[in-house]
Amino acid sequence: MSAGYIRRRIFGSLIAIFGVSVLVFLLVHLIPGDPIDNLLGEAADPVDKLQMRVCMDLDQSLLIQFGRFIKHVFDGTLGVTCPDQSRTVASLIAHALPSTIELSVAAMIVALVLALPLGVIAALKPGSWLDAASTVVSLAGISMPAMWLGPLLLSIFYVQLQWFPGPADQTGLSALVLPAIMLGTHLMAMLARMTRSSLLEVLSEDYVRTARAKGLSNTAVVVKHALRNALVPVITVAGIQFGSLLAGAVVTEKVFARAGIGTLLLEAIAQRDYRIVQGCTLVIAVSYVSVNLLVDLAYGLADPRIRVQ
Amino acid sequence: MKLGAGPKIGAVLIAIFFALAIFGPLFAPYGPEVQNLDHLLEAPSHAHWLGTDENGCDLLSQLLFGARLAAGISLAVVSLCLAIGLAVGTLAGYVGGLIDESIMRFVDILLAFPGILLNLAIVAMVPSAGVGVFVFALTVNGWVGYARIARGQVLQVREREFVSAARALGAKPGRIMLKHILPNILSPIMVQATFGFAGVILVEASLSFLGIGRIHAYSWGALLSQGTTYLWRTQHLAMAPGLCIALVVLGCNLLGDGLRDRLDPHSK
Repeated sequence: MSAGYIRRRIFGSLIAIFGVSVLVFLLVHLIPGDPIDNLLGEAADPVDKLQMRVCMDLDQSLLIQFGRFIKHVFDGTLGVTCPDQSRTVASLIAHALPSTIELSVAAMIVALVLALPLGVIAALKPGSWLDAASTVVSLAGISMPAMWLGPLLLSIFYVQLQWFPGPADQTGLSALVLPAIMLGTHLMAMLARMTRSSLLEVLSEDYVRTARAKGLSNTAVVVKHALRNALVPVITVAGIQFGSLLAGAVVTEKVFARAGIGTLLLEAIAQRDYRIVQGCTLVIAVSYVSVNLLVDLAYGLADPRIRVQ
Repeated sequence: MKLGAGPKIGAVLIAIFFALAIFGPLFAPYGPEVQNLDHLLEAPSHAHWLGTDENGCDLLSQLLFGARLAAGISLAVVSLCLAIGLAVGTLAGYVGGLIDESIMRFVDILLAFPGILLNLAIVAMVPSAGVGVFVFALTVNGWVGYARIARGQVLQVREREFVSAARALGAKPGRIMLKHILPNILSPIMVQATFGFAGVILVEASLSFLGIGRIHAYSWGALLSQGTTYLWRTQHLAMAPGLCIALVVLGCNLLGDGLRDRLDPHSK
């Protein structure tokens, strides 16, 4: 892979991250009205208001505020929470993030494990009832709102069948199953559709016909030749979507009352703690950009044609 | 234009949705916020076809008013996103150079916010965010998808002979973009708008479900959230709004797939 391509891609991501930081910083300022009035209410005690203003650096010029915001990004603290200044935003996020990453990884596994066989079976028997069934499952997965699927899963598998633990129990792998299905279903449906169309396309390629003409078995043709190529774009999209899972975890964590960055964000919103809202938004967005960059670079390594494009 | 069975079903679902959004509230048996404290959390009956919620409000009436709200917000957001996306994307693609580069970098920044994150952050920052804030928040990053597609299309179309001919005849850039390029790039954009409509319905419902902003209590997401609270006692409260959202999104997806196959087969 050319050094120029890597440099260009990293530079583009750094610009995106900088832009995201500026936008997240400006969020508080773009909203009409005084942020402190929004936070504490117009009738709040002037002393409290002043303390909050100083704590949030809102008594400084916009340039100094931005400088401090960037400084807090680089020193890794993301600033202290206000008015309780004993905690840094980063420490709260660091405490919440592992649970969200665990959930997102589990959702990704659910999505891939279900999507690949579903898409492959549909592509190998196009027009059959298996293909039709796979299409129905994919369409249902894409159309069903996650915030409906989650409670339904809880109602069936926790309340009625009691196969999996409910929201109160968060220990062990079994507690991850239902939230992972809720979060991963949409991605599963998307990937199943992609796998089907990608494999169908590859199966009509000349090299697959050549492999068949050589007398290879159908399994060998599909597994060794077709699938390897058909899955490259599918895995790439899966990688790129990892960041979306982090954001989607907000709804899942609410439904399953799981501690995580989504719950932290919602609590901060309820308490109107702008610093935490900014911190969570920034961390999720930067993770998203970084994962995209890594996936792009890995894709470039795997498929030289991408670099030319 | 002939459509397959799937897209036809999609078109019917969308047509029913809009018919309910326009006429439904006229035929709603009760007001959306009329409480009947003698009929709390009742199962579907003759008087209340879809049952009542914990305040005794009629669920069917709430869903019908909610349909109008969802249709209004989604139409407003998709129209705004289409207008902004088409204008920005066409400008970037036609003019090129520094303007194109700056616009696309800005688009990249907005695309760096995954899923509903940016919408959520914006609505969360505004105290008592109403419908207007929802529309604004969903439009802020909603237009970028349209802009990207429009730009890509313009890059192809601007090299075609009829554009060169218009330029040679002395047509001004504004006229070329509006009269010659725009009509020729609309197909993939309309496909995107169909999927985009489903996306807006889902995001709006998600934000209401999370209880962010102060939109009406009968928005579909808020009804679903309320229904899930009582899932342990009764299922109908969560079933109906969930099914409504799913059917509209399914309709958009089916119709979008059909339109894409017909209008824009290359992007399949």
